[in-house]
Amino acid sequence: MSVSSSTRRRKPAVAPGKDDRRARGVAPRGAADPSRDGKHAKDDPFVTAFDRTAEALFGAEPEWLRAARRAGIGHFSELGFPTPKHEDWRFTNVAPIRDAGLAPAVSAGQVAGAGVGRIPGLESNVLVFVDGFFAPALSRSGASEGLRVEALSAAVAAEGDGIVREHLGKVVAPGTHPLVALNTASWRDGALVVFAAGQTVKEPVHLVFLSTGRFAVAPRVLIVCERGSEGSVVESFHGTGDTPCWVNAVTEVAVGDGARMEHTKFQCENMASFHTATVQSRLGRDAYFTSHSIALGGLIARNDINTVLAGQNSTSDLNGLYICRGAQLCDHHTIVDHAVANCASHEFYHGILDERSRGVFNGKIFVRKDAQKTDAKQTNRGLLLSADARIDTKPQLEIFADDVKCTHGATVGRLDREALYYLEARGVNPAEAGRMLTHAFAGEIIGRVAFAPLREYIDRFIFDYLEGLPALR
Amino acid sequence: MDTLLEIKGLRAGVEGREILKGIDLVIRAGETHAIMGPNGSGKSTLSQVLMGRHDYEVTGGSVTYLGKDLLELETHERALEGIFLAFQYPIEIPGVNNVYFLKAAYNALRKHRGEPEIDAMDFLAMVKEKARLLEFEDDFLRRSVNEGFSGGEKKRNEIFQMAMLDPRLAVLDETDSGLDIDALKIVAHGVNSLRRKDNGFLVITHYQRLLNYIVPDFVHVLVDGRIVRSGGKELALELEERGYECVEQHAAA
Repeated sequence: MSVSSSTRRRKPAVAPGKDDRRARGVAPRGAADPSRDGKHAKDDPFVTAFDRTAEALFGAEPEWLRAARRAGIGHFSELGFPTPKHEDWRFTNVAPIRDAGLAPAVSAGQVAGAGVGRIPGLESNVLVFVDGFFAPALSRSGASEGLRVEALSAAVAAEGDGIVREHLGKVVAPGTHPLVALNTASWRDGALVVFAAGQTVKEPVHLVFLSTGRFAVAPRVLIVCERGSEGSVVESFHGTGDTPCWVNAVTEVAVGDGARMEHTKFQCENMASFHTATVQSRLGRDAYFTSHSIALGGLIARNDINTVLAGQNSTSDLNGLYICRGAQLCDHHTIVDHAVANCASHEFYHGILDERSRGVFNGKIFVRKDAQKTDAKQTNRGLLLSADARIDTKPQLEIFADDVKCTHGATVGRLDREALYYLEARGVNPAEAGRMLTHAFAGEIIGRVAFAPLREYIDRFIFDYLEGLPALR
Repeated sequence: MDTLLEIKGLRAGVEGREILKGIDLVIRAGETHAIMGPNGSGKSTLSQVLMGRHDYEVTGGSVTYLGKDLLELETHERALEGIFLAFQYPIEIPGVNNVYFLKAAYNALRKHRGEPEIDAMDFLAMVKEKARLLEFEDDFLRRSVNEGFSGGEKKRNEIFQMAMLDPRLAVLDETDSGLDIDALKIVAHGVNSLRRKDNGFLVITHYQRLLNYIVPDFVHVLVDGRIVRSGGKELALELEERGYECVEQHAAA
């Protein structure tokens, strides 16, 4: 695209201590404090619903988990449902989610076929959840050496303590994000995926979340990559029908020393729905994590993609592609937390916006005092296909170390007229020329997906999706 | 149907500035015309106006192509009707694969003619044959359109595309600029192999050199938006010897 580009290299510190509260806030540990749960705002519908149903729903769970839920609702009650007055929600007004009054799903709805959301080439381990409930009849799990995949509720019931207790709520900090807190209090099911130490599992595990109706659903996923393992997990979110639902998801990814993990989130709920989700990863030494957030669906979609580089020589790559039309709003907030020295992070986000849709990208990078030799790069590009579309973009670099390389660049532009003319001069009609250029722009992100069948599926899906955009018809 | 293109009193400009000040030109099937002229005379403007570039405005005159009013057509429609412009500065399009792009263009042509899409294997065979003509390596086919191409490769790619799309009327806008002698010979060979009784070429160039290899039937000299002299191929040699000043003076007289 012929758009202006600003890349600046920023070396020295922003005044240390500035906004220290928020800086501490992303620290992943030690935020939960169950004693706070006495302060519930009694009139909050989410809190009241929790108080009314918690005993019946969660009474049989182990005490540590029930305590975590109480702490979660406590944090939520304290933080309150997000409003644009919160700095992190300035561009994204989620009041319509609250006002929709969607009640938690009590049972799974009907799904027309077993094939919804399935991806060719991802056959061995597919866990399907309908309205948040595990659907064994729609799922498949084959034996793979070094891989454990099961419904999270089943894992908790089977083992009580163990790997779930060790990691659940430890990667993410429920006390810093109201919707993470709400999920922590109210999740009904989700998945546990464990890659055993030293094992490589080539085919991605596929988690499919289907929404069928007017419900609020809070899926919870825990992914543990033990030392030296290598694996990939895809989470797909699809809505069947056209009634609004609200998916409020939390995924925690613990990436052990020397482990390599690819996480792909493919979000395409219907245009009436709401999607709020956090994917929080924490990396050990010599670890590698890459996240792909492909966001197409929902009237309001908010993705928080956070990564903490907690072990030296680790690398996190965060990639994102969002496509909006109509009145859609898609918001990505990323936090890359360089907690220790000698780590690298790369962010590539592309947004495509048609009609009167809006995109938000907010990329925070923390470089802690000890995180010398950090190499952090953030690139965020927006393509506006209509005069009414808009992107708000904000890089936030908070650097407390002095020997680091941090760059960020943000550009927003339109389709390159020279390139369109060139294609048209060869007989390609204007709409197809626009699709070719837009697809190429999307392809820069899609091309980063490592597993070929998944990459090809997404590429084909996006190609077809672009054909439906009014500006490209 | 003998006449491919008839330009009458064409006036055109950009941003309110008139560049073409009344051009008359007729190209018949089987002919190759060369337009020569100093920088700023309007050579490239003429090529862009023929292709329908959005920021050029036609203020007078007419252009008839195969009996149709060319100026009424959109750029892609002109291409589908058989007009090809080899760009002076071909555009790089990262992320759009060469072969994919060509196939889209080729199938658009087929569709326009009411023919079915070409079989993928047949298309690839055709691509390989034409690539050999322009001495392209296979790897260039896997690359994005013009991305990372040298100046010479870009120009060869233009002629390669032309060979693939087989136009009725091809306009070559300073295809020789930036080419070394070897690349120039390859390009000229590519063009010459496409010359037939039923198509025509308009070769725009600043230098006579290209015309040693693509020998024109007619040479026109464009100065300040007007054709001031027309003649046979020997006119190009005269210009090479005596420079544009002589025709400019001639025009002023």
